[in-house]
Amino acid sequence: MLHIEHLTKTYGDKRAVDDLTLHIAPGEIYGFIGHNGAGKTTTLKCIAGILRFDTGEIVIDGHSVKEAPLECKKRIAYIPDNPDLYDFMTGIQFLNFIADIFGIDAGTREERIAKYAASFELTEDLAQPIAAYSHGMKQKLAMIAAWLHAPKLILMDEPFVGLDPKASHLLKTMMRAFCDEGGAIFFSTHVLEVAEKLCDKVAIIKNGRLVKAGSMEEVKGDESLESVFLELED
Amino acid sequence: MWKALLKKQFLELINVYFPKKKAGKKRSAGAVVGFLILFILIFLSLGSSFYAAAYMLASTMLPMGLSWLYFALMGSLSVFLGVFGGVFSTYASLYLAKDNDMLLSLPIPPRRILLVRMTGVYAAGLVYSAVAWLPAVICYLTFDASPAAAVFSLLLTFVNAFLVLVFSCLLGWAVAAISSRLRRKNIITVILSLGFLAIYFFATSRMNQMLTSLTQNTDKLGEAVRGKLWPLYQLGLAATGKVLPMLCWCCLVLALSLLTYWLLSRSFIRLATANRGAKKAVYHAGRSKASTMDAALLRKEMKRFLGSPVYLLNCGLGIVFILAVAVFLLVRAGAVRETMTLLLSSAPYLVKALLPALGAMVVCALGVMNPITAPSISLEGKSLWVLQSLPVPARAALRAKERLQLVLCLPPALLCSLVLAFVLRFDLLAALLSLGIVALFTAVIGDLGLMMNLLKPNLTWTNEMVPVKQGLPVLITLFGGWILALACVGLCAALGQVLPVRLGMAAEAVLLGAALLLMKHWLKTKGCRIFEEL
Repeated sequence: MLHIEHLTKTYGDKRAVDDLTLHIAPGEIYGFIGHNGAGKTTTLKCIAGILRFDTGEIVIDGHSVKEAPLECKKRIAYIPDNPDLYDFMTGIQFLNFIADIFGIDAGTREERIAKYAASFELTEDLAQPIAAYSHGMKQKLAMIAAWLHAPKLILMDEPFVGLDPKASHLLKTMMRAFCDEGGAIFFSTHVLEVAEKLCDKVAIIKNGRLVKAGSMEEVKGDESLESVFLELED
Repeated sequence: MWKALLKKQFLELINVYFPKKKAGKKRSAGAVVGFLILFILIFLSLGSSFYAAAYMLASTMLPMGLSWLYFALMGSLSVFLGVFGGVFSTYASLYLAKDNDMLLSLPIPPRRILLVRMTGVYAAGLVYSAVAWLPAVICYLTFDASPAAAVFSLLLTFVNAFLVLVFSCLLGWAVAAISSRLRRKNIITVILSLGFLAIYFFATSRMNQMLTSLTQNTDKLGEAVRGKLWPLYQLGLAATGKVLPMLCWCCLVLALSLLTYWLLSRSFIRLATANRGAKKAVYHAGRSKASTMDAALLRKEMKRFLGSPVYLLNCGLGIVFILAVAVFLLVRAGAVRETMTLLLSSAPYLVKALLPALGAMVVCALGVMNPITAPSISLEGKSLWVLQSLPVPARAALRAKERLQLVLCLPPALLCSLVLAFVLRFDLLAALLSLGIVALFTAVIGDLGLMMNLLKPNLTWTNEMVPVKQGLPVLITLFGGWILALACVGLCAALGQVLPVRLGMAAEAVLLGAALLLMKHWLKTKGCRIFEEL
């Protein structure tokens, strides 16, 4: 589903991502962990086509991000760590905007909005302007928007920040269900317990370089993910 | 702490005119010099009109020994201009900054946050009021170049800006106090601002009449000001170089500034953190309507424009003016026709023939007051990721911004041109050419604004007033547009010397069309690349 080959991205003289190679298959929940400023967000933004990268290649579902960025974007959904949405729209206007961009017909969007908004308990608030939403509500709206067009790959940057325990549990369930149906998820997190329980595979990044990647068992062995991470960081 | 806060405010101001480029790149020295030259040119062009008004007053009042009255009047005018310059933005800059919550959470006394914000309002007021005050000072010094008058009147540029600050802050405070109690705050802000604007235009429309009346009744006015408006009398005397009035005036302005600061600081937290939400609207699922990507993007742009009083008032006011001109022309068609006949009776043939081109220029110049596209990229701000992560071609995103300009500005501009052609009885060819010129010019202004914003984007603003009101792209589009409108008529007049004027107008339309095609090509190629890399 997602092939990252020798990805390198620099900001001025700083190498934010350095020769990163990762492969994510359909059905996998792939966790991406690392210290602050390790290059997680930069990697996710490069995959989402927000940032241009210097060298390397990213292929999503057979399409190159460099050669066919729009084809790639049709297949993905991206949720940033701080979802700054359109404050001048209401929740429902934003969801309809996303649905229009992806060409979702009226019946399908109605059904999906009703389903996901009910799941995240956001239905009543959809008529409110986004400017009046809390961080958590914006996060939920961004999740609904992500699931709305049935993407093949979902990229999430710290998705659990700002969510209440119920929404957090729901998100985990939805992530599992999405991947069980053949989708793939690549997400960054600092919550190692969640990563340990939820992820099929995990990658650890340090100063832009991949230090360890593989299935959860391969990476952590008999230890906890936290101790492996702390050892690698030291 | 004080130094850090001021530095933040200063950096914010610098970032308005010289936005940071991508990481690792410096601002170019050429851009800084270019901006400074542009700023000086704008200042000089505006200042020259105030110099003319100042000269008219000075030539009457100074020989009568009423120098103080001259300064009192020009001082009042400059304060009025300073307050008007900031009326649309003071409320937003004092109370609606995006870093409010962050700053209030830090161990900073709220009154200090307010004081720092007030320095921004002071700087804006200083620039606006100096546009009228400095020409008045220069004009006075050509009559009486005494060192005391020169020093005191120049010092008063900074002192009077505090008075502008006082009035601006009180207006901003009043708007904040009213809107904190109301649900539909955007509408209230628009209505209050338009009300103030109407007063301003009423006053300026009477300016010539007032100046004539002033010069005819100088003695009586002098007595009235001296007797009933003591502070103004002190201001006038201070500017002529008198020490005691200078001290009195400075003390008065200082006292008013401190009082305003005290008043505002008492309610700052309450107003800055007032619940900005309206009554909770509950969603009831209804029938959805699917639309195309282009329609969705245009709707998004429209919602942003209509949802922001700052954007609406600063970039859409020309629409109101154009419609007002059209209505005025229709209502007073007979009088306008008579006046034009009278004015043109002794004019050379070329001027008469140029009338359709001049009419088109007036409509175009009014249309320039709608630089809707000029801040549109910057306004994406931190939500730019939405468009960048969606399968939206850059060209489609830019096209939506161009279309918004056309949808909002083209119909009123064409209507006004049609009315003008009807009232002034242009022949069919002239009417069609002026309509074509106005349509092409409107599209050129839209693309010019978009190009400028792509070249000078500011995505890191903390208050939307910054890209809308103070952004360099808006400034360049406004003044560039006016210069272009003048150049178009100049071209017609020059060609009219050797060719029929209608042919000159056709050449003007062709050139505008060519410019538009070039701009569209640039937007399609380089513009899209820049947008993708923002």
